[in-house]
Amino acid sequence: MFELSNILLAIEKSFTLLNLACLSFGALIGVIVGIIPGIGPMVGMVILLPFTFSIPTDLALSLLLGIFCGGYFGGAVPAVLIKAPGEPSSIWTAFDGYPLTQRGEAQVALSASLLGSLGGGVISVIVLIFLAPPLAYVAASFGSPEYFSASVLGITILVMAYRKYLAVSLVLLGLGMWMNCVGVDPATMTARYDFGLLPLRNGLHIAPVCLGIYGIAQMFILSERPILMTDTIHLSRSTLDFSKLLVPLRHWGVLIRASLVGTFIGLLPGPGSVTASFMAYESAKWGSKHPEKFGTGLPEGVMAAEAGDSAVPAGAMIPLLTLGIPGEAVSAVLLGILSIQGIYPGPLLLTKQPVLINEIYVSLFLIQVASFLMLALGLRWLAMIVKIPSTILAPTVVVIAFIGIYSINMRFFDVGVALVLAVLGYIMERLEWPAVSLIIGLVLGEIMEERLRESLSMSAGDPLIFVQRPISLLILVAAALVIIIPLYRDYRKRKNVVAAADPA
Amino acid sequence: MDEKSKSSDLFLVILGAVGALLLILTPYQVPSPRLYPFYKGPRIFPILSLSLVILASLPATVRLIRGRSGTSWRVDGYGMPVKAALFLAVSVLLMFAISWIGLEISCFFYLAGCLYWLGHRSPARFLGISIIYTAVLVIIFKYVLGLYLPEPLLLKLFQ
Repeated sequence: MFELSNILLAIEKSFTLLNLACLSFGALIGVIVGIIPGIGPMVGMVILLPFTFSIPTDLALSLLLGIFCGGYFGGAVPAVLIKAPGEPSSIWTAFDGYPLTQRGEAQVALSASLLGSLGGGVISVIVLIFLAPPLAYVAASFGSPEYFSASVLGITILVMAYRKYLAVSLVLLGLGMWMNCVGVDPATMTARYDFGLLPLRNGLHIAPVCLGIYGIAQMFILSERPILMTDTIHLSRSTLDFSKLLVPLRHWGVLIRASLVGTFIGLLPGPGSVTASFMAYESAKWGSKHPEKFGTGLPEGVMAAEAGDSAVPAGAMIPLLTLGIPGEAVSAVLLGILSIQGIYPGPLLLTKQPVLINEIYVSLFLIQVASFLMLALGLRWLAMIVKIPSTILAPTVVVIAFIGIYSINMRFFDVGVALVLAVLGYIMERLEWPAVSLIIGLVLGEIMEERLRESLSMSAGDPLIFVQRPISLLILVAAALVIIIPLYRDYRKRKNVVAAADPA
Repeated sequence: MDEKSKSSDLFLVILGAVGALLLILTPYQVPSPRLYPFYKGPRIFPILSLSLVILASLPATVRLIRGRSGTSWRVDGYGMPVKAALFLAVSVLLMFAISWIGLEISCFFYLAGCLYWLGHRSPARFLGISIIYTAVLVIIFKYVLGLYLPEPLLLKLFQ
């Protein structure tokens, strides 16, 4: 894994003109979609998703990771300048960023956010590099029952993260898992749920599903609700004032702590960047001598929030690469890409494809630097993107989505599938349902089905195999604790609330 | 969203009903080869998935049938999805239009129409954006990337 020849080859491949172009283009798209409230890196990724199938895996990953990471850089800009987070996770950035702007210190706020994003991204990649191999080593002893149990643990954590909508999450998860079953079963070559339609025999491709649910549905929403617009974006210079970077840099301890918090939250399936950003912000507060000043315009608050959410991409890559378990919708899309390219994440990936893995690490570093430089040097131009009306964005994005979906299999049937799922995505968005559960179900469903059937074949149909193997049992016990502990805490909280309301 | 929304329960019930229908149709839609026992066969996972959908939608079904005080049909306060429905309808038309009249014409009219309808009434804006965007799309996808699109059906009719 740490062989010098692999590392050098990966560096060489990462610095090719094509790879640099892909990651820079991805970072630029990510920054742009991150800046625009209501769009976000997920939409950017799914729109470019169809175009990545015809390019080599490493370039496709550089492009998509560029969007993923660049989105978090961009999301801070409107949060700081106009108190409108470009990305939901940037809401904590606005708490201290906007007061700084109101005091005429927008450059300090932007320096803190960019430094936080850069630091969070870099530190999380370092953690990924050192944590992935031992995790992969442990996972190498996994068999099919352990993988199935690990998938169950993953979806349990995800479902419990959305336990406020527990039933909804379970229904969407089940629906996603069923959607994976549409098409020809690779094990037995029998067609499932094609309803006599030949195109359905190829199954439901992840691109139209994601584009429908996240991309086109979001455009329906944007056509109804105008995004906050402003004619006044106040920036004293067109680029970042690099001298202001020294202000947040004094709080390097906060940066490191927030980055680690964000990485470990990103590692867990479910919580995502909003939780990571919040926990990182709170960690800065707890460690501060003046926690009461948070929210009044502290650069370290801005930096911590951004470090937290920018650490999520690399954190999410840890379980994805080592166990093949996506932590959230974006890494689920990455898993889909890898599967389509014939690469199956898991412990063997680190030994079978060491150059690709090292390339991912190097590209992640380069993406952080590229995103930082783009924003630092093109600040005013990029900030102006906030002013693009959503009513212009909506139809233009739909058109490009259609072309992208069509280009996958050269058929309009996929476009139709995307439109049907866009209706579902729109309903889910209006009802605030966690669409990520459906995507995780779809992507994990393939792995779970394969592992389930293999495990039951090993035991001649006896389901006790999952508890007879020690590691599998341990993982299932962990899953049970993930369910019991939060439910017990919620129960105690409700009991305390009732007791407080009725002292007699 | 209001947690006590009947609308959420209704959609859960609908999804549960779809799940139940798919479960009933499973023996007809998923042939089970005799070579494979159930646990190895193609039906086990769809049955498990659909059972999850049905079971998880049961509480919502019970709530909807019994009724619950303090609940409403309110979703998010943004009203009926008229605009979104029209946008969907026009997007469906675009899908057919691309195969009937070609990418260039259908994209241009779609964009121009949507922009005008969504409030951009200045001809310079809705026509200008439509022309430029369509031109860029056609150049990039058809000529640079070589995307194959079938010949417009209307053109074939006139040939």
